[in-house]
Amino acid sequence: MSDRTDHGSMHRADFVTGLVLLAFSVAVVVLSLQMSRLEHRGINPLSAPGVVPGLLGGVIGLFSLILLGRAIRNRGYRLGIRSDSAAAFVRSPAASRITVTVAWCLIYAWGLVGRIDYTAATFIFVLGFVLIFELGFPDERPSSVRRRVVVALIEAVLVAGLVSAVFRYLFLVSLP
Amino acid sequence: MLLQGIQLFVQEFVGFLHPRILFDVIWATQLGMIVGMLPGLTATMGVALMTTLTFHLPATNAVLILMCMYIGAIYGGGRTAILLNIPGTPANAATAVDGHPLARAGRAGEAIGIGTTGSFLGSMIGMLLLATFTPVIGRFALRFQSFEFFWLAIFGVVISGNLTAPKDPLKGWIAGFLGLFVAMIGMEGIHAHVRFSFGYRPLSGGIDLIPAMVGAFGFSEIVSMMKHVKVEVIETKIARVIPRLKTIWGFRRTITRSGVVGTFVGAIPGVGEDIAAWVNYDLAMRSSKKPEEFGKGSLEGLIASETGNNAAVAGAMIPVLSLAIPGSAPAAVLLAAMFIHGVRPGPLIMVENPAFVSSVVAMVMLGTFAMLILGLSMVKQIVKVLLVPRSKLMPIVFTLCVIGAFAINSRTFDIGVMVVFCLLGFAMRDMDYPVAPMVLGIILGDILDTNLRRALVISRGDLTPFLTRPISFVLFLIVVLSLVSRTWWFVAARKALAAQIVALLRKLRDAVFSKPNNG
Repeated sequence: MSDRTDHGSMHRADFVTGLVLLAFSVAVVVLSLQMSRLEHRGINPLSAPGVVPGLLGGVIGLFSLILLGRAIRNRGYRLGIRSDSAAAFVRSPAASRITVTVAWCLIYAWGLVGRIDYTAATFIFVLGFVLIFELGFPDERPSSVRRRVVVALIEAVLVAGLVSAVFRYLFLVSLP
Repeated sequence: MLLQGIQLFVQEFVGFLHPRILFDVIWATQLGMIVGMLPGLTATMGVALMTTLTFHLPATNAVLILMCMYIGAIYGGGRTAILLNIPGTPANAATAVDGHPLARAGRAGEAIGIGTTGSFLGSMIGMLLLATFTPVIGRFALRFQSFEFFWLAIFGVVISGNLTAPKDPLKGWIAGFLGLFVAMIGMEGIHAHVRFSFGYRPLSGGIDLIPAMVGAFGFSEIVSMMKHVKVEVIETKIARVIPRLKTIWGFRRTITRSGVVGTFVGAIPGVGEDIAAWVNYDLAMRSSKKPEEFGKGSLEGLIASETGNNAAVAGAMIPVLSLAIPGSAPAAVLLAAMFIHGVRPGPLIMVENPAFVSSVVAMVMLGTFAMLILGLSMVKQIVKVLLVPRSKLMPIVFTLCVIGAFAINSRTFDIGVMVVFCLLGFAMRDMDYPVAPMVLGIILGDILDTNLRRALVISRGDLTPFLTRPISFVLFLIVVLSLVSRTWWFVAARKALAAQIVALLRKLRDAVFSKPNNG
């Protein structure tokens, strides 16, 4: 049963992906056709910059049509989300662990790095990551909250300090 | 020619026998083993991250460190497969099938010893084949023109798509062609025209492979590691690790076959060590005198997969050096690293820089010996790495992903590229699209683009040379067969044809044997 449900959700995902890829390929072909053929530079039209991207767009379009056709044959166009399976997924600990990991990593890479000092950003990220998972999703290791916080602080200071120092002074990189 | 090759190899090998270089070999191989051991962190990610940490070193030292890291990681994953039943890298999935039952039976030390010896011998066989075939293929490839390189690029993504998505090759091909498209972004190589940048200046430089790769491979690995709370390390005594020579000698045929097959599978563009391990495991089971032991703790199955995956490491370097086309995902990073350091592999390497090929062979040898020594010593101590909680390890890995993506070009834009590919890689993995063909596509995109347009200009728009030149025609046939052989109607037609042939043979047999009776 679950296998059938998995197949069903994959066909639905294939249907949506097929549509997205089809739209993407049409856009690529149109943009390739509109691309400058550099006539003013007198180049051979067969070496125009749009030739290969246009061809690739066409091939991706063809593949997306096959994917779409297959998904339609398997009734992947029935996009209704079953509320019980969706709720079960949202409630599962794995889903919340994934969501928190993705969100915190994105906040660091897009929100913190480049906006505040790199060392401070890294310190906040490492400390936050360790604390979220050590306190929010506790495992069975016998250690107190205070100890976990202290260890997280030490790790954050060491990682932020060492990574910044190695890249700045050893690799001579101007940090973001 | 052979003597010249051996002379070059000895020269390069002796050149590496410097305490500092040997120290690099030891730590890089050990770090590779640790990266490989940690479930979720793969050889590709290890080599990609290490590329960002070694870009300031001279080319030879950097490539040596990356090569040792690669060899160590593919080997190290086997230990996790044996002890945890979780392959440390995808290349060790076949190892877990027999390695873990052996560990459960209290034979973990023996399994680690056999796996290490298999990896060592596989790597040595791969090294010999690398030294033999790279110059041969390189010289043959000197006959290649734009027409052949075009088909080679298409063949790379198609075969990689076929083999990395065996259940649904269409998704593998889509990933490969998307990768080829990604390579179209930015300034093109013939007229220096900027494509698909939409006026955004950082995009005109194109999408760099390393940030894209760190994102696509690294982040999805971090997420999949954080999905579960913890892993169980089985409580087992690790007794004698060094295997008996008699045991190894008993597997000589399996080892030789796995080494040779592993190298050739590794040399197929974009296929990699995981397929090499499975192919060898399957071959070992079919030819074994005790096939019933496979899956229950067969030493033969374990040694076949471990020999195969490490042989594939050297195999993957054959097309990298001779054609500038990677045999596996980590080899793709190594190729990119070579470009970063100004080394240009490809058909001309045997003319321009033959010493580099010998140098890579010497690197494989050094890495292989380091792997053997480290693999058979400090077994109990290194296993403790597996006890480090993921919540403490993963933020360090992601921090290195971010700064690594930034450091090569010092562009904040590359962090953005990494993040976009993080999300793309995560979504692709979730929907069963393999990432390896996409990465291969990013590398092959430029080869495809420049060679197709050059070929069209040479032939003045005539498409027939793509099919009438002998090598082109063979490559075209292979591409078409790779595509068509996976369609349902081809499979059905093949089955129907086979059934008809069998029926015809039966009729013939009946006719032949019934004649004398009638007469």
